[in-house]
Amino acid sequence: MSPVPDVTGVNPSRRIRRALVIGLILANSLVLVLAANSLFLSRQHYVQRAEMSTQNIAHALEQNLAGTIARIDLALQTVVDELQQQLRLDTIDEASMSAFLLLQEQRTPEVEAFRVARADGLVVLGKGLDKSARASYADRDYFVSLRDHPDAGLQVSRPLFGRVSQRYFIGFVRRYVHPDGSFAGVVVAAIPVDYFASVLSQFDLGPNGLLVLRDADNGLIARVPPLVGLPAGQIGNKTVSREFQQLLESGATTETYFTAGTADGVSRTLTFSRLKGSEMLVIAAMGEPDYLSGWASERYRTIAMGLGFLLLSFSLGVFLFRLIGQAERDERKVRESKSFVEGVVDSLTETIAVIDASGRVITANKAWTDFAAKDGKKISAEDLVGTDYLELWAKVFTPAEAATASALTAGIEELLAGTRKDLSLVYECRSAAPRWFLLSVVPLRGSTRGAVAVHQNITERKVAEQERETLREDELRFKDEFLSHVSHELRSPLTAIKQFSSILIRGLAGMLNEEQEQYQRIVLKNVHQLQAMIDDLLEVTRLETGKATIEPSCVSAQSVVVDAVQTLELTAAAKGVTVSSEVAIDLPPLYADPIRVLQILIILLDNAVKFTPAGGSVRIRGRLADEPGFLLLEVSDTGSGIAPELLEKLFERLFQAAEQNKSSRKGLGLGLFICKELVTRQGGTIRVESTVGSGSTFALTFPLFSMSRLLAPLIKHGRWPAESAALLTVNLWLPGEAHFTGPNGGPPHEARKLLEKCLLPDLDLLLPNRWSTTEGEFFFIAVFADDKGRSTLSRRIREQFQDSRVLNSGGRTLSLSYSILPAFAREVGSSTEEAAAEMARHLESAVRSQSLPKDRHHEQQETIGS
Amino acid sequence: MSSKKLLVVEDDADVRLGYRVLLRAHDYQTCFAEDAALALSVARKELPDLIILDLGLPAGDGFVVLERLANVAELRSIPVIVVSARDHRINEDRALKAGARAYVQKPWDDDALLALIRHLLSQGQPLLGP
Repeated sequence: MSPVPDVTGVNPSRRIRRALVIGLILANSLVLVLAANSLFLSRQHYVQRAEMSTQNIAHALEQNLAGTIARIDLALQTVVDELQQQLRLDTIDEASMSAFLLLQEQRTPEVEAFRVARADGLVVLGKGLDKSARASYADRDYFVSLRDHPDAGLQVSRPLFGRVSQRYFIGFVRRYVHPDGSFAGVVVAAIPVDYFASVLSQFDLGPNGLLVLRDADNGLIARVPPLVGLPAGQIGNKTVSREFQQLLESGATTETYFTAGTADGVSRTLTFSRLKGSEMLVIAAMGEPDYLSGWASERYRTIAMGLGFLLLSFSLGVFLFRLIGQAERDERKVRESKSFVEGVVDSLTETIAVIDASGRVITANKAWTDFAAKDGKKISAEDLVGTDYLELWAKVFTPAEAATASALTAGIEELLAGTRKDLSLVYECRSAAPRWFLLSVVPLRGSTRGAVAVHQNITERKVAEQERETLREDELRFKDEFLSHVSHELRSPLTAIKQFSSILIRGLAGMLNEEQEQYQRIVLKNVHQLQAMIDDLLEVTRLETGKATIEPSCVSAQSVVVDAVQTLELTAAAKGVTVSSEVAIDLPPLYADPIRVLQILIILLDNAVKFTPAGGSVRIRGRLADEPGFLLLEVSDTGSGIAPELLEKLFERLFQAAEQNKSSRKGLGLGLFICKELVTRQGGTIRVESTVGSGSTFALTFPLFSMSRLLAPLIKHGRWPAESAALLTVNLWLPGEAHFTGPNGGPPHEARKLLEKCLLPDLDLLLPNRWSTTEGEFFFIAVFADDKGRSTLSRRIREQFQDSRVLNSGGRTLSLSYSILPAFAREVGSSTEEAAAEMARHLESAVRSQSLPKDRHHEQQETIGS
Repeated sequence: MSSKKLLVVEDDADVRLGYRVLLRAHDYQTCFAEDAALALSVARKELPDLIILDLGLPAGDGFVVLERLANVAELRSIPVIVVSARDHRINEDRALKAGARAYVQKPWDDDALLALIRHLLSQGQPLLGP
């Protein structure tokens, strides 16, 4: 099946996948880059902050130290001034100078001691001075420098280990001069290195922070925290990092730098600054671990987030991939199931078309396109979509098949409109060989409104059906012919047997003695039995194959009963059973086949006599049945009765009851079956009531003869013009001929057949009544024709009679006379029954008004029913 | 009284014998034919007063005989009783149309047959023209 178009493209999922991967990669890369960037910037920020901190601290330190140095210098100058003052006064008063020095020491607590040295270097004044020791500064650099440079100002020494105090000191030195300006000596303010250390300690640059003070030659003065155990931590050590070295060499006085090559191995950001004047070097440093600790945790956070993002995007990716995979699988399943269904539908040999509510084809299966192709029309499934279904079919059917086409069209339209639940149509399609199709159309279930039309090629089935039918007919025919043949053959030897038995009994071959005669009678009796069996068998076969002729007419119950009784009188008398009948003469006639009614009555009477012991009686009664429109005939006996459980099966074929009287004739057991068939086919019923030991009664009903019922079918056609109804009386006059009907009606029967041939079934009706007298037969025909029609009919009847051998011999004459019925109008709105009844009345009176000769032989006057 | 002559056309020898015994016992003269062809010639020769014709004859059935009888002037008016084992309803009409006067089914009742013969013979006087 083609047509619902397939929307999926070529491997979109692969594109999607690729896009997804690329997208994720891009996103992750972006995130990575952003994170890295942010981290980098953040680091920069941290570093900058650290730098700033070190700068600030260095600056503060610088300020601090500068201030201290300034103070010290001031004190120093004060001492220098004092000294120089005293020199001007000739000599230095040691006591007052010492007190002065002490005072200065008190004012400048940083200074541990002021010391004064002479021009030769000998220390003359100062705290804790031991004159006997004759300490000298002559060998010290600063002494030499100050002595030799008259312009020199403050000198700062490198760290010196004090002999006296056993501590390191930095000496701040100034020269003092004689009044003539010549070098008089130096004043040294000794600041313990610890002081600088304590100054440095005031600042906190973090656990790995570092504050260093170096002298003008980069010798270490103080380091906080101190570096223990390493030479680089010793006072005076000049080891500095490479970067510092480079910076110093470049001549920078203040700079911020970073180095990883530190003595204790901690990377630091450092700011150094060279103090003006003293040329000392302050260094403030922050350990990288400290100032980057924040960054480190940030880094971890960022990395964690990054990893988290990566993980998330990875999971997302996996999830989406799964989704895609699932979607692919689902789609594949749908495709597979769709193609499976399509495959199934296309595998069918039946053609299927789905049409929408307006009759347009939505889709058709392969079988259809194949079918169309076979018929010489090249149609593809796509071509079919949208076409009008009914038009398609209109093209398929030839004009000869118009009836089928219109039935199909109408049916489908009704179904689409909803006025019809389903449509099933069997039709023949005349192509090269006849083909049969079954079209089933059902409404479409589901959301789309429409219908599904299925064509099945049922040619095989139909052909098989027809063959079966033919076979059945053949079989029936064979059976019929077979039985016919059999009966023929059986009757022939039976004839001979009967002939000679009869001859012997009649004494035509010599007189028989009693015994011989008795035996011959037995033979004859059995021949009769055999004859009856054959007759019954033939009758049943005829009934079965539909060959049984039943020609209902107007029958007098009384006459037929009389005939039946007459037939069995002798047999009954021989057995000692009395047969009586009670049928009123004035009972209305029945509408049945008189031959058949007689046949039925004979069968029943025969049975009754058979089953009644000597001395018993059999009686036939006739009266109107309780049910209106029916006549009841009852055959009752005083015989042995029938057991209740057998009553049901009584009318079945081949049913035989056990008889007490073994000498009674047996039969094939078909009699009652035949009775039942014949009665029911004539519209009557048969019933039995029985009491074991006292007897049985068989009750038959036959429909009463009703002229209006006979007329009704003709009036329905509504073609009878009211004015031209007439009664045609046909008198077949047989001069001198004794009334002899023969075994099967003879001439009168022939006459009826002939008359019927002349009649038009819709316009004329041969009434079942007839009068048979010694003067001939009278027949009555209700004719509905105008003048011309009537004369045509007369002529036709005469012609037929001329041609008939049977009727046109022996001087028979035919006379026809019309009596026009009075006009009656069929009233508008009157029912068929009423019209028929009125017509019947008119006909009856017309018949009655015919002056018919009275019959001498037959007392029966066939009355006209109503 | 001149006894009437009856022609019996019957192929079964036993049945013919039976006819003869019965009919002769009732003072009829009898002549016989075994098949359709002989029937014609015997009829022409004997000019019977009545013909009893079995429909089931070999070499052309009784209907052929009837036809032929009808075509021969002096034979046309002889009353024919058609006898057959076959189903009377099928054959009776046909027989009567073909010109037979009565149809009797085998095996018949002798009394009935005799009465029929009597009736037909009495009807036939005088012999009427076409």
